[in-house]
Amino acid sequence: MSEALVCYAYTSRYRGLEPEADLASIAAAASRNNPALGVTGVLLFDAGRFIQVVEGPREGIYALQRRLLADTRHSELVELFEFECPMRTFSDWEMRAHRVDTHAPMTSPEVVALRDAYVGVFRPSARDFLTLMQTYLKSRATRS
Amino acid sequence: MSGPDDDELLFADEGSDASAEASAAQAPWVVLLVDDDPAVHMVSRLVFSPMRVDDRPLELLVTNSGEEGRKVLESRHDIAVAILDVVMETEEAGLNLARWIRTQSALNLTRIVLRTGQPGNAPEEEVLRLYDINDYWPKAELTAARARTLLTGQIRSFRDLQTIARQRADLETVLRSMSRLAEARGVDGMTRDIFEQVSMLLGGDTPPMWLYDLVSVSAAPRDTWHAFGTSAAGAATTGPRWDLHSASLHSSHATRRVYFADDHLALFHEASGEHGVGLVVDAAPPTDTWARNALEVALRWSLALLSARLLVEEQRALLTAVERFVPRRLVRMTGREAVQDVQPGDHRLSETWVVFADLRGFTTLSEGLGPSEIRRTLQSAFEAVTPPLLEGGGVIDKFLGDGFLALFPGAAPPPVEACRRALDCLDKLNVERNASGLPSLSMSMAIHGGPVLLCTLGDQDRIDITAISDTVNVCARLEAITRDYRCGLLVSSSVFEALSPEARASLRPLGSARVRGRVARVPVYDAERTSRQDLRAPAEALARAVALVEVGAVDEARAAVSALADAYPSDEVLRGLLVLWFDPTSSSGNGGLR
Repeated sequence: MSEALVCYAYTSRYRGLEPEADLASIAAAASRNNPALGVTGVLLFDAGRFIQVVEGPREGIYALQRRLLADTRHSELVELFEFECPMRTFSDWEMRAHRVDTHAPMTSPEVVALRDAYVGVFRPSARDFLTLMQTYLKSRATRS
Repeated sequence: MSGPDDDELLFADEGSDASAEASAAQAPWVVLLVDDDPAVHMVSRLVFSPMRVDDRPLELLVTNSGEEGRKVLESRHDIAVAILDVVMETEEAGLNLARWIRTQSALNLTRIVLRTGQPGNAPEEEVLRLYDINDYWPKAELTAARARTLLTGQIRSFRDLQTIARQRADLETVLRSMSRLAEARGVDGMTRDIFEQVSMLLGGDTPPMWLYDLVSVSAAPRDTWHAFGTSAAGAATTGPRWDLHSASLHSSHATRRVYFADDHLALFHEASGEHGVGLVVDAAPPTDTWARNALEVALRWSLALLSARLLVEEQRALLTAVERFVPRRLVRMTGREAVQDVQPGDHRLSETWVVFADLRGFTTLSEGLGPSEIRRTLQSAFEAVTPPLLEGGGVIDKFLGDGFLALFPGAAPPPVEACRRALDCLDKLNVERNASGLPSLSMSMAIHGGPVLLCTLGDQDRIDITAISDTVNVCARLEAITRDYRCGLLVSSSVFEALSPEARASLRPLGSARVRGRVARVPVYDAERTSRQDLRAPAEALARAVALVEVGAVDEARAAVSALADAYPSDEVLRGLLVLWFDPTSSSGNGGLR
């Protein structure tokens, strides 16, 4: 692939009233639209908060970002990172959505702090960040 | 929504939590992180803690400074990997700690990884050149996944080094105990060393163990050595186990290898024919191939050494037994080095001092005794008198009823002193006998020298070493006439002439004796001990009497001897001479005048 790949991650708050239905339609829309954009990645839904990590060509990521800004089902969008990456780490995933539903959902500053620590220690990678998040959520769950 | 099985990244290992807990008993790999940045601590925990390497979890120790890291490293010896930041309390705190680990600590297996955010402080190539570290992680280039891969690699290196170190320790145990075994003195010492070796190779505990000296793998053991073991179970298994062990030793014998059962191991080492040594250890054998091989090699050689030692001990015992029948000195006198070299017909003619000894009046003495008392009396007398003769270079050729024949090499001076000491020893025995109310024993001895043919006579099945010689015959006759001379130690002129002038002075001439079967008369001398010189007629006086006898001046001679007998009433030899020389009714007449 000649075009540069971009990895993009954000967190936002869900504003809708029917999370089940909304999530289903978001997942359906993602699998409908993303292949055309060349975007792959994971969408986490944790008790009212989205965390999405995606990879794709710059144009595809921009198109996704425009759509995210127009979407009224969420607000308070905070960008976690956006960097060029040498290769896809979710190459075979068009888009996956997951409900995590931890007992106490992560707050935006918490996600940002985790992002800061991670980026300060390792060269970021979409897949690594998700794994890190998973471990973090799990250790958080065991602590609480 | 997606189901849990859709995403291995997030949910795949939830199912494996159970297995992680199940094997939590497995010792974790200990990884030490030394870094002063709390963010590094937190992220490293998140990245490394879920890892498993070879199905073992990780234990991540975290410290904030080089000094703290050193304290942890000093207190633990099981740290697989130390991940060190470079810049902490000082610019080079991490580098100093790396150097300390390699030069000061005993942690020679611990892998060291240097992690740096500012490669300018510790340029990769220079650091690798100057410090004995195992990897270099620049923060800017390393993803979390890559870090896990590298850490896994370091843990596996540590694991392999640990294996090598353990194998080397095993090998050293084997080598040390083999060389100790080779130097061990007795069989008992060897069996102790073998038990100790097995304990060490099995990890330190002493299981119940048995060593058997076996005529064959099927027959009951001739000898058993046993280590009871340090475990409580060992104490309970002290009973006879041979029936159980025999089957395992058979299995080992069939394969010619160590037989590894689930709860014990056995080895039969065949020494010669079916004869061999067996070892049974009541402990679960090691599972890994290396440990089994080390055990196999060690045990095979140990048992080979032990059986060789048993064979040597057996041969030594056999040789000792043989040499009591055929003394080594006697064998040497026939011209052979060892008894196994002796052939029928071997012979050697050499100048030899012959000693005949006889317990005087023993026939009379033994009339009132039972067979076992006779045997005991003879035994005690011979045990008393033979040591001085052996010390004097002699060998007892034969015991002849209540006497014996001893031979001494002709190259040495005649064994007059040895015979005198033998008679002294009999005196000591008599003191003890008298104290227990037993009568004194009296022994007479004669010494004569000349050529003796020592030869082995017999056939392939039964041979004996025999002294054949006129010298032996003459000596036997001389011993017989000691009674007539009433002398305890009679020697021939061959002895007198071989003595130094000083030694000759202690001998008294008794004239020439007529020896049965010989034409020429043999000059004889009284060589008895001289503890009470004042009670005996001096040699010069006797020499004068002998001279008178020899020129035929019988009356003068008789007068001289009678006068001496009056002057020395306790000198028995003079009374003997009076009868021998001058009493025509004397039946002996051996030393008589004509």
